[in-house]
Amino acid sequence: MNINGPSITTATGIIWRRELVRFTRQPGRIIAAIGTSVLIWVLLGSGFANSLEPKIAADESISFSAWLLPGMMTLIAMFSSIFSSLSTIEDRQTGWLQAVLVSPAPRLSIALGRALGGGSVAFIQAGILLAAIPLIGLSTGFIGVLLALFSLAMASLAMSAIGLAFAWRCQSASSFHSVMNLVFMPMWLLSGSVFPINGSSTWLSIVAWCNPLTWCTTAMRTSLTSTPEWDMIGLSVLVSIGALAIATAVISRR
Amino acid sequence: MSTETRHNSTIDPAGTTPAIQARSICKEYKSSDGTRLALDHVDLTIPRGEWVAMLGPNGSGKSTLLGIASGQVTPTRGDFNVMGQDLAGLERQLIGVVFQATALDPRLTITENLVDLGRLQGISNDGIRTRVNEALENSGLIDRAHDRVSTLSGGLARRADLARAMLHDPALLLLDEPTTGLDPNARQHYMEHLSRIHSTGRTTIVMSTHLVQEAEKAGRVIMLDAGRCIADDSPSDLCEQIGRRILKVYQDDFDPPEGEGWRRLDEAWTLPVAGHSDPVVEDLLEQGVELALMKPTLSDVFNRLGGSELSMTAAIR
Repeated sequence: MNINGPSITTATGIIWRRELVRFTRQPGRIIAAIGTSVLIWVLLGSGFANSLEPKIAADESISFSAWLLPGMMTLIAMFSSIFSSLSTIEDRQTGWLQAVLVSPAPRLSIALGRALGGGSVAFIQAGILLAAIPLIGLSTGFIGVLLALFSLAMASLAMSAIGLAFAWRCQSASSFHSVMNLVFMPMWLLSGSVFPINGSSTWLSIVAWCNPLTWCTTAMRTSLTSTPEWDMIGLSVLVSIGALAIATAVISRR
Repeated sequence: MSTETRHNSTIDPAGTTPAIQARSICKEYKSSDGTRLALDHVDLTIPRGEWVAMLGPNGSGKSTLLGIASGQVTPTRGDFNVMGQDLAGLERQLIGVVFQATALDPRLTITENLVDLGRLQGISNDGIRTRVNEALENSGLIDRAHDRVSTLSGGLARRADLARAMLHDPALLLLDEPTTGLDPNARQHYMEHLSRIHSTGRTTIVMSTHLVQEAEKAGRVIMLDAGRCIADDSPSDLCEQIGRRILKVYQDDFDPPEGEGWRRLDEAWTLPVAGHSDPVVEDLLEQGVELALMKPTLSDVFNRLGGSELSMTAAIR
């Protein structure tokens, strides 16, 4: 028998895979996350179509529904990340997490495994929406789809890592939900997911452009609808790395 | 598994260092009301191969002591060594921990849980399947190997959890009230399984409990009360320390004489006596008091030494 503990890659892989297996065994979670977002997409798309369609069409030559797509992908990834983070609290209550914490698995692998697991689940759920591209009049090329998926992966990873960091410090699911509503919902609303940032008031534009979720959403949108903005894609990578660093720091603290 | 591959053999070939050695351990918890002392200068030496039960009521410091031994809790003061290693450098492969709640994912099967958690303990990919099958055979769970944990009864889930903790063949097994929530039958099966593990002589067992029946199974009992160690000996020696018999009076209107050391326990007045010929017994019989003479139990010992009650009703709960 091996006297050494598992390597970081082995331990990360085990924890990552477990998140995916758990995901496949909770069909209700998949349906809820996608269903909610599609519903919001349809309602927002219909509700704001008359007021925002002309501006969007003039600025970007696409329909409002097409413009909304990246924002809805961000929303699904956000919901999914919150669900995944909630399982951290559940794992602590059931004891699984305690068993991992007394094992020789490196703390870094716990942060990486859980963030990658939650991020993967969020990515899969949100990425499914890309199947709607032909239905909403977009003619995105292969590279554009790939770049959008890459930006989505970065956003999913970042939100999953931040959710994990908060969940690690929260003692109950209810307090975690409150914190998430306070942190993630304003971030999403100010990410250019629901209304265009250009044209809003100056202070709102400044806040929105300081919002990491705006960078990820913009990277997705430009990849899907026009010319990819490489600076936004680069910033998305930095956001996910920063979020992972925060999660690792929180989990490593005893 | 051969003894050559055991973890402790590579760290301390002679096996001379104790499994646990604690010197003047204190643990303080800060709360809004101030500071609470969970452990108050506890000294402890547990040689390898022993089965030790830590007995005490809720809040006596049992879980804190186990938390320190498993590296989850940092002591405020004192020195604590596990298998000759200090806590900062503790090789976690040496220990297996059973918590009060089952540490298995209810959505996964027993095998999936054991494979994942065994791999996280450092068991190689090549050896994990064999090791899991062995563990399931030993636990009598091989027929349920591919059942989800959520479908198991409480007793089977706890046995699967014990298999999880023993998967990497730890030199030290720590159990924190492992039979919590089990019915008496399942509890008995669990303790029998623990006895089999101990009989191999390969694993030191340290178990916390508030049930005297469980503590009596161990070779040594450490009694904790309010963070202090109040007694430490074999169950039989502890019982002998307080007298040959315990006199119990269940009469509601009984008014015990002051100064003789009467204590209230489990709705009875109790007093250690030498036996039937003890003058106190003869005197009470002459008065027509209904009484019973019993062998002292660990519950009586705790009641005498700690002052508080380690109730037999807890054992039934």
